[in-house]
Amino acid sequence: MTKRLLGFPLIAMALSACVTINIYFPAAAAEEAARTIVRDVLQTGEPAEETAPAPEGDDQSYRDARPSAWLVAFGGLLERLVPPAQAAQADININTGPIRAIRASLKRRQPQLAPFYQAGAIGFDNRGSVAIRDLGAVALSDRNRLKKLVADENADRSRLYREIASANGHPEWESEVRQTFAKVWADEAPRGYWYQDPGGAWRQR
Amino acid sequence: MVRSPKRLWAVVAPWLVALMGLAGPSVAADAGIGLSAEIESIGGEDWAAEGIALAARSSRSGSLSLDVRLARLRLPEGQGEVTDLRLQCADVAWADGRWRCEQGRLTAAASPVGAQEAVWSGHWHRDGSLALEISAFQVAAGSLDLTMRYDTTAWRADLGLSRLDVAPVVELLSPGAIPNDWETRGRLSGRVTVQGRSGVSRAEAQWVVDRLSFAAPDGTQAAEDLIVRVDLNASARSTAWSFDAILRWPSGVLYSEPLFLDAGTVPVTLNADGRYAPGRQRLELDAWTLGFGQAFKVSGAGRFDTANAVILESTVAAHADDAGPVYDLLLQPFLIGTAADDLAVTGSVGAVLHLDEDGVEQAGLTLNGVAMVDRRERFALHPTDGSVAWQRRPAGSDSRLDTQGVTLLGIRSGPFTARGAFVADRVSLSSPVVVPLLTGEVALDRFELTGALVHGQTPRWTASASVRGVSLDEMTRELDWPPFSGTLSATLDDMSYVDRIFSVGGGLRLSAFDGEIRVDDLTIQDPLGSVPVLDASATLRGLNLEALTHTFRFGRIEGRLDGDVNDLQLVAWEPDRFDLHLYTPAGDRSRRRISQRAVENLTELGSGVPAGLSSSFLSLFEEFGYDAIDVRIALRGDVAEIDGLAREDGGYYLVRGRGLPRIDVIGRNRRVAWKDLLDRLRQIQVEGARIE
Repeated sequence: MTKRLLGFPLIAMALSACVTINIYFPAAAAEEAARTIVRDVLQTGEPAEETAPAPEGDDQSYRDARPSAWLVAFGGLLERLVPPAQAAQADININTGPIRAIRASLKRRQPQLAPFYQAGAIGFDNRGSVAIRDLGAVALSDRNRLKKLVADENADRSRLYREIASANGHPEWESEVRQTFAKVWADEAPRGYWYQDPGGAWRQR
Repeated sequence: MVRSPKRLWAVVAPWLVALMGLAGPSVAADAGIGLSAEIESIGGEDWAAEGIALAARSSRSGSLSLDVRLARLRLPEGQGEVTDLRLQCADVAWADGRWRCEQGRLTAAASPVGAQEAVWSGHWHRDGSLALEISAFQVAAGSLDLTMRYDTTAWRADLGLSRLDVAPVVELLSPGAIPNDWETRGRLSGRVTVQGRSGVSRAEAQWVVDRLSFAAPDGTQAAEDLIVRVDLNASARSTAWSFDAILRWPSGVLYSEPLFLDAGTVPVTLNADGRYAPGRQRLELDAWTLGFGQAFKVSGAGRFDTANAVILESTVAAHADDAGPVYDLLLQPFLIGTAADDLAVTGSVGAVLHLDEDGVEQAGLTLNGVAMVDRRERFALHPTDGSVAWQRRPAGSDSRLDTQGVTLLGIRSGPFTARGAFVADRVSLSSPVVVPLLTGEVALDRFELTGALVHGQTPRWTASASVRGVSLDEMTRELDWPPFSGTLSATLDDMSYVDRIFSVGGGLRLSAFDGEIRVDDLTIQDPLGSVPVLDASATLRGLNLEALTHTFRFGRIEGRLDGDVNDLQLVAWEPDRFDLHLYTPAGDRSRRRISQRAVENLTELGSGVPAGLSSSFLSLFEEFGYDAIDVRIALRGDVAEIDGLAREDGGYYLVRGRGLPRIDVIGRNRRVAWKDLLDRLRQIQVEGARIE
């Protein structure tokens, strides 16, 4: 009986050592990466950093350990043994050639778009794109030029989201990347710019 | 209650005749006589008049005063009502066999065009002829003059319009035509003449709308300061109207998504003649012409169902001596967001479209010296002649284009001819197209494009081609790449462009430097976009180093060279990533010698400084034997990592020598900025020449 009692924690410990690492979308790291890019494109805020380290306690990337409740203590011990695995999963790489080139393209276009943002003709929509929200605020002769700028901007943004997802080995993350950027474009919108809230209403920064 | 105008007249006429008879010249009336009548209401199916009061009084001088009141008049077809309408004439006089009123008054408290206070005059003859003139009738912030004449056999009405607000007039004539939330301003002036016998037989109109501006809230439709002139002549023929009309638009700007027209720059005119049958609601245009200044004209004819806004059958033809304005005004706005939205177009073009109830049924395009150059310098079509025929249903008409060439990625082809078929959403070749290219040729054996002509679909194409004898020397020079000698021959069986990704299946083989280069897994994402990305891998086998180094003027090296290029990625046509490994093939039995200059250059390439052989006793030797060459370069963005054959001391051989005097080129630094490495390559000096 004593042996059994002694053996049980060991078995439990062995079981708890069988850790399943789920790769969930690292939302916090992605948001940090998105903020880096958006600030760089809009030329606002802090200087850009090329990689976004995972902040501690990233709630989207976790280990699905399956110990019994009473083995929390052993689980805690194991958690200390495996943090490198967690950290490695949570980085978002934005330092690839295509991403750099698309960022440069977005940045080059901003001076042409800025007057239209300020006039309220266009804004950041809640899908991570630029939307024309008031074409009436644009001179008739400029409307097609603006439409071309917006078409080119959105083509670049779509490429950017796809490239970030692919560069991190998860093309299926594209929609999450897009959603993350949608939030960050709105957060970082300079004063006077319009953005669409998650409910679809337009608001001015 | 009286139900019709005829019955009203039956009630009123005897009274008036009697009164006029009493007051007429045959009667010497010394005392005034007054008559009055009241009618509660009269009406028809969709109109009604209420509270009608007529009063007539003869005066001692023999004239009459007339006063007709109408409390409320409901107009037909829901056009509103008129209240307190009053027609007065204080002096209805008899002269020359007719009753005449020189100055009457017409007032209304309210009407669909506002309150009214106008002056009228008129006369009525015993034979039934009459005339009526109303002037300064206040309508829509402007004024209106009306003249009506009836001479027992024919009648005529002239309506003069002066600066009427456009919006209420349009609303009056066509309720709901202007959406409530549009801002619309503009003034309408002009003249309308209508004449006939029993009914309307002829109408003429000259209208001018000036200061016309409108704006839809979503900005998709807007105009500023337009001036539009319309001349219309129409005559009734049986059950239809025959008409001819001219619309001139000499100034102002219009945006109708996605088209933008500035008439000040390109004045617009529209001429049309045809017939309109109101009963059947059919419009037949025998001919119409839409002119855009001197730039180009579009003309056509057709039949239309105006009730359902459907084209029953129509033909449209266009011609432009200069296709540039056609592209700028009418095509580019529809191409925004595609690779063709930024072109400079020249040459002469003609087009014919035939439409039926299902849309465009067939189309033809004639090109005469048409050239299209992408302003971002990605591609160009040089002067091209020919004709393109497109049909909705399969038929036997081929298209043919003779072009002086195309330019893609800076490389221009020679002239060639293409024959193909354009049917529905498909474009395919009728016969292989042979494109002269850099002393060789590219034969496009098969090409099929789908989805190009269908709104909402992404164009995709597949093709197979063979490349023969294309000069690598010229190609690398055109691309500003390091020079290669040799020729490119390849069979490309499985090329495709789907979802903006160009890919070559089956690989690409190049014969160069007596060896073979094979390119696999070649894809180009968004080749005409802002950031094209090329991915590929390549293998090099059995290259003759003597030919290679002679080409690169690197210093002579003899021997064979194999190589592998993995994970190659060009971003915007600049190298961004690759793993390159160049090495002496295992078991190579060829003579392996390296010249002093090649050693110097390899050393400089690896370290940034030359070996300095010329200052040592080794300068006595022209060349040296070597055992192996091994160069590895891993590029990651801006940084290249250089490696070679491993040495125990941590360095690496780029060249491992053999024999005496033995010379080894050993690298120590592993990381170098890619930009610096490129600079070193460019600055290698050979025989006083500099490789650029």
